[in-house]
Amino acid sequence: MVGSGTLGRRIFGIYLPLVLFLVFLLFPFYWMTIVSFKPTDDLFKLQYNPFWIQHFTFENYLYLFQETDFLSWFKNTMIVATASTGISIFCSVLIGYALARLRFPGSNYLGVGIFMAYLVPPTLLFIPMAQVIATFDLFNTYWALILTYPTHLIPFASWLLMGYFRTIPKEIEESALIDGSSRLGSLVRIILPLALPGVLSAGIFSFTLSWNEFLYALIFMSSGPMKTIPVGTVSDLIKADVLFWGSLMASAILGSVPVAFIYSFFVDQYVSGLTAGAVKG
Amino acid sequence: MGKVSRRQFLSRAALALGATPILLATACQAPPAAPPPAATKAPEAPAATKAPEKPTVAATAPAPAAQPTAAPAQIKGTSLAILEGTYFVAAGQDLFKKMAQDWGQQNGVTVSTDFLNWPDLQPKIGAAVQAGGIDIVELWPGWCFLYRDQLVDLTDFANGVAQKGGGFAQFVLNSSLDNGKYYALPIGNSGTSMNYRISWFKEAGADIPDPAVQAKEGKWPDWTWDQFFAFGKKLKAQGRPIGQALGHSTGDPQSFAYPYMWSNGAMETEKDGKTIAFNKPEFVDAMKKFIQAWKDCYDETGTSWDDNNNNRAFMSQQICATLNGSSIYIASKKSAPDVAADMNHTLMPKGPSGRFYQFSTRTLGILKKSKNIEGAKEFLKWFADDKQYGEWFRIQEGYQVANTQKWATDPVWTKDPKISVYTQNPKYGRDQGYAGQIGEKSSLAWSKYIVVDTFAKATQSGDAKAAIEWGAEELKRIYGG
Repeated sequence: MVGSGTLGRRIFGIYLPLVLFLVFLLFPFYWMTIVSFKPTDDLFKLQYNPFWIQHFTFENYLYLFQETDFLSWFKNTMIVATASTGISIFCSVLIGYALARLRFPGSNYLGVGIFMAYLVPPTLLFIPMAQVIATFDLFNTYWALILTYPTHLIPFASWLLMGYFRTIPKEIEESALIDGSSRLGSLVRIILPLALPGVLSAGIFSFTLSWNEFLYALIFMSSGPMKTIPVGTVSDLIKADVLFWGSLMASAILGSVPVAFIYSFFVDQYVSGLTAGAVKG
Repeated sequence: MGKVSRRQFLSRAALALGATPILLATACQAPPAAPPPAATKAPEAPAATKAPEKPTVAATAPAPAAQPTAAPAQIKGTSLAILEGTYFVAAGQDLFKKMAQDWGQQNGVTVSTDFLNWPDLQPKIGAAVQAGGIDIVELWPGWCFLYRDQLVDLTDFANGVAQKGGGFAQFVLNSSLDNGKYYALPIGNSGTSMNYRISWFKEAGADIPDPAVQAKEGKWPDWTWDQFFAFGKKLKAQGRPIGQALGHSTGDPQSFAYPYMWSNGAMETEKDGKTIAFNKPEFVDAMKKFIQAWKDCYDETGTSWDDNNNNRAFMSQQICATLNGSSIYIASKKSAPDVAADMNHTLMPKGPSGRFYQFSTRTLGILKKSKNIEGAKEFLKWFADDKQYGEWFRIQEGYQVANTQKWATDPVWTKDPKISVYTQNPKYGRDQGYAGQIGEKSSLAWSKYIVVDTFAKATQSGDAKAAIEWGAEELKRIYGG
C-alpha cells in the first residue's frame, strides 16, 4: 500500500520503479537536449561520450532562428492550435450540453453519429477536404486548418463533455431554473464552472492534437513561411539523406515547450476530467 | 413564423453544430482519385542480362529546340507554385529557389518554391491532382507514368530539349518516354556508387590506383560481389563492416537490391512485363551468399536503416563502405575532412550476369489542375536552357547526372577526380521493372518494397529460397504473370 511499509520496501516498491519509469520517459528529452547543444562534428566522433556534451554550442539554435522561419512556424502553430481549440470547445460545450440535458427527437442518434464521426480516420478525408479548401480558395491560409481541425476535434470533445455534464446532478441546475435563471444562464453560471475539469481536459486534448498534427498541415498549409512546427521541422531541416540533427532536436525541444507548459498548469484538472465517472463514490 | 423558445433554440443549435462535422465529412466525399491508367508501352528496354559496354545516345524525333525567350506578357501578374523534393545537395536547392525567384521578378510572376521530404511528397501531389494549388511538381522516377492522366503533355518541348542537348541519355528515354510522349520534363537523377575508405581497403588487400589515375584512365576498382564480400569479411573482423540500408526508404535500399538481383540473373519480369523471372536458381544461390555475407561483412543493424543511417555511420567512421550518392563526400568535406580525404567512390560490384545500377530519371511535370499552365511552361523553358540548367547541374558537384548527352563530358566530372565514377551510372543503369518496362506496375512493386523486403526477409530468416518465393508471389500479384 502506498505510504506504508518499511523504508526498504518503499524504496524498492515505489521510488525505484518510479525513478526507472521517469528515466525511461525523460530520456528522449534528455537526448534531444544534449544533441541540440552539440556541434555537428561531435555527433560523428565516436571517441566522445554520446551521453554528455564535450563542446557546448548554440549554433544549432542560431541556425534554427536565423536560417529557417522557425518563429513564423511557431506563430502559425500557436494561431491555428488556439483558434481551432477555441472553436471546438465552444461547439462541443453546446453539443455536449444539449445531448446530456435536453430531450429532443433524434438526440440518441445524433450522439451515436458524433461518435461515429470520431471513428473516421482523418487520413481518409484529406483529399476531399483538399477539394473543399480549394473551392473556398483557402490553401496556405490559417483558415484552411482552423476550419478543418474542428471536424475531428469536435466529435471527441463533445463526447467527452457529454459524459462529464451527465455526472453533474440535475437538481443543481433545476434549482437555478426555479430561481429564475435561463437555460443559457444556468449553463454558463452553474454547469460550466462545475464542469471546468472536463472542459480543460477537452481543451488540452484539442490543443495538443492541433499542435502536433502533420498531414493536414502538410497538405493545406506548407508553402514558404506558412508552415507549422511539425511540417517546417521535417521539410526544412532534412535535406534528403542529410539531416541537420542539432537543429532538428532544437526545433523538437522548442516545439514541445508550449504543450508541456500547459500540461504543467492543468494536469490535475486534466486527470480528473478524463476520469470523471470512472469510479462511483 | 412561430416563436422559438430558448429550449428549441438550444436543441436546434445543438443539432446544427453536431451535424456539421458529419455533414462536412460525408458531403465532401469526392470521387476517389482516378484509377491509374492502363499501362502503355514505352520503347523496349535493353534486352538480355548483360550490361552494354557503351552508353547509347538516342535522340527522339527532331523538334524545335527550347529557346530562352522573354516570357509572354500575359503571364505577368500571375502566380506560380513549384513543389520539389528536398535536395541531397543543399546548395542545389538554394540555387533552384533563387533562380525561380529571379525568373519571377523578371517576368512579374509571384513564384513560391517549396521543398518537401521525399516520403511526404506523394500525399501532397495526390491532393494537388484533385484540388489544384500547385503548378509544377517534381516526380520521382516512375511517377510520370503513375500521374500521366493528370499531367500536361510536354512532348514537343521535351523533344526540343533533347535535340539541343545531343539527345536524351538512354536511361532517360527508358524511364520517361511514354508511348512516344513526354508528360514531364526529364531532369536527370542523382547517381549511386560504392563509397569506400581507401586506406582500409588497401589494408584488406585491395589494389586501388590513385584517384587521379582512376579518373583519367577510367580505372576504377572493378570488383565482383565475391571480391567485395571477401574484403568486407576482413574489414568486419577489424570492426569496420560494410553498411547497407535494407529498410523502407526511397534511395539506398532499392539502389542495392535491384542491381544485386539483376547481376545474379533474376528480374522482376521477363521482357514481356508479365512472366515473373524472380525465383531463379542462380538468384537463390546468390541470396545464400548474401545471407552469409550479411553475417560476415555487413553491419547487421542495416535492416532497420533508412537513407540517412549509412551517411552518419560512414562519417562516424563506423563502416568501411556503403552505396550512396556523392552526398557523403560533399558533407564530409565540411564536417569530417579526414574522412573525405581517405574516401573514394567506385563502380557497383558485378555479378555473373554483369554490372547494373538502378537508375532512372526524375522529371518536372505541370499539373492539368494548374491555373497557370502557360506560366509553368515558360518557367520550364527558361530553366531547361543551358545557362540555368548548367549552373544548377554543376553546383551539385557530380551528385546530379544530367538528362542529355552533352553534359556527360562537362568539366564538373573532371574537377574532382573522386566523383568521376558517377558518369558510369547511365552506362549500367536499368529501371525498376527491368527487363520489362518501367510503368505503373513496376512503380507499385517498387513502392511496396518487394525486392528490398525479399533481402530483409532472407537475412532475418536465413532461408533464401523461402524469401525469394515470397517475393515472387508478391510480384505475381502485381504483374499478374
